[in-house]
Amino acid sequence: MLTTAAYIEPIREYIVLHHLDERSELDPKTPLMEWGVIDSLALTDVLAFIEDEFEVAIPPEEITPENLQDLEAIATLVARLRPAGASAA
Amino acid sequence: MGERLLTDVLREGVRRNPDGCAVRAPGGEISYRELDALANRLARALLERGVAPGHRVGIWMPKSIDAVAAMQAVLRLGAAYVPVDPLSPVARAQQILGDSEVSVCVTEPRRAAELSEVPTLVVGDDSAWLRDIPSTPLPPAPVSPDSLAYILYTSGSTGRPKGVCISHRNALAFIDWAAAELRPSPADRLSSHAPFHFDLSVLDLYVAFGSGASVSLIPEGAAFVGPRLVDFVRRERITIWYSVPSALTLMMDTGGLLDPDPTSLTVILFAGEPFPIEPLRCLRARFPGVRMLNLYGPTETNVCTYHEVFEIPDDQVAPVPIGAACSGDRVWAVKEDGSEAAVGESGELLADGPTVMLGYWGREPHRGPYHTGDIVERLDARSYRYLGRRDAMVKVRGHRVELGEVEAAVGAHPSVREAAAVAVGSGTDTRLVAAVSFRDGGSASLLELKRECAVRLPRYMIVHGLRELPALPRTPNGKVDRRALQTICEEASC
Repeated sequence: MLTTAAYIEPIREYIVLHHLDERSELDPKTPLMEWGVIDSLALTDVLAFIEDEFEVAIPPEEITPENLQDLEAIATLVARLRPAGASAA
Repeated sequence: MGERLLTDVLREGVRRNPDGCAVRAPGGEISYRELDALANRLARALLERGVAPGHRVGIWMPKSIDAVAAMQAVLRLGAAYVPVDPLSPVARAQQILGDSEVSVCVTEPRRAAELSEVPTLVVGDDSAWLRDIPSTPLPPAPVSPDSLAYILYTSGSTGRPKGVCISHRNALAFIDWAAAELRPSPADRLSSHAPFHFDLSVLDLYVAFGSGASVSLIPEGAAFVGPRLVDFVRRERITIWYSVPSALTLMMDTGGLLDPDPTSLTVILFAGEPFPIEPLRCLRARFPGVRMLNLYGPTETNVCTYHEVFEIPDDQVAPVPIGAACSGDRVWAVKEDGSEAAVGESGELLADGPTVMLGYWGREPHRGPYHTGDIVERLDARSYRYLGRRDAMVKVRGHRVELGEVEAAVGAHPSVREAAAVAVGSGTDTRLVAAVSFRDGGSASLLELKRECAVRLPRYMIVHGLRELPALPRTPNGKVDRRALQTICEEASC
């Protein structure tokens, strides 16, 4: 099983490219919901990316502010949802 | 018996359906009898903290049964409640609680420590102490229908939020109209999508209470997650849904609301922004047996017009009308020369009647008709269609945003020389872009500007984009050229 760190980088890159600008420095603990990086407009897009990239299905009840609060929380969620034995993309 | 007050609405529910469910929330549910008792207990706890008739009491906590009971408790003491956006940063909450001079703020444990300048009543977690307080009714408070019932803060054009003061009479005029129009029964289940500081929430709570129906609270975190909202509608067997159109389009686009799976919906209400015609046509076609009403009104007048949406012709491109006056109000449109707009003409919509606010907190009482700032087209003798705004106010997913407030927040970044905010896109895709010129040698990332907004403003006012410019465009007389900025920012966002 991969550590959550392996999931962080692709998500970070995607969010910076599509929802921020190249000057933006996201770290694993940057508050994404609180600072409006993932808002109602970005949410659907970011979730679609994660589901595609890591081949996971995120059930509605897992789409919570806690699970999406920062890159670390998202990576933890992805790691938890991915079937055992799957490798990071 | 005196004239009816807002406090009587919950009492009507208790009488009609004492053992039925009043409020459902993720943590559990509460019957009318229990809610009544909880409101009395909280009222006594507030009384002990010195809350008296005429006071204001803040409510800064997540949407919950406790928050609903606290609002009723405040009213029972003859005081007025001030709901504060649970997603607002502490600086914004302090600003609102300070401005409205609350005597106490009801809050949850983790926020209490942040509110250093305001006395608090902490509920939630382990509120065992509450059960030791008697639940017997309190003596009636000396209030009249014209007493202040609650204050809703909206974005202010001066860069500070302003408090819209609503009396018992103002609120009841709308609630009674809505109840008569919808005629809910105790078997109905209303959704509570809007947060309590947003005036859409008034219908959800009080129309449910007056009829003994139940209201299911949607937590803040789920309010714009399409799949969770659709799941909620089906699981909670919601019969009456009310939200901004943005939430409904999200439910259609990402939640599967248009799937043929059955729902219990009988009424869909929407307000707060124009509903783009294409998604509305789809919604109308998917739910042929469901009543659909477009409600209109700024916070200052609550709902003052409505329009029932029937089948929408394939060739219709204009948004549906905001309709004709309701809630006992009178509405009309006034042209630039001051005369009333005739059929086919457009002008600013004015509203007068029982729902028009007492005034803004801390200012002179409001008198006469309220000038909405909305430009409308008069369609026939009674009915109007919304065309746009006459000032720098924009709507972001139903929330009112004064661009000056956003500009002040972005301008707080030390590298920013000057900043202007622009709303680009339309309808549910409306986005706020900051046009910024930086000081020599300075710069800031979009993330840094988002952070500047996030510590000062509610979440819906955080900028989505950044457009860097050597200098802001100016008109010949030196003012920021908003039209030029709009063009620049629209292009950048494509």
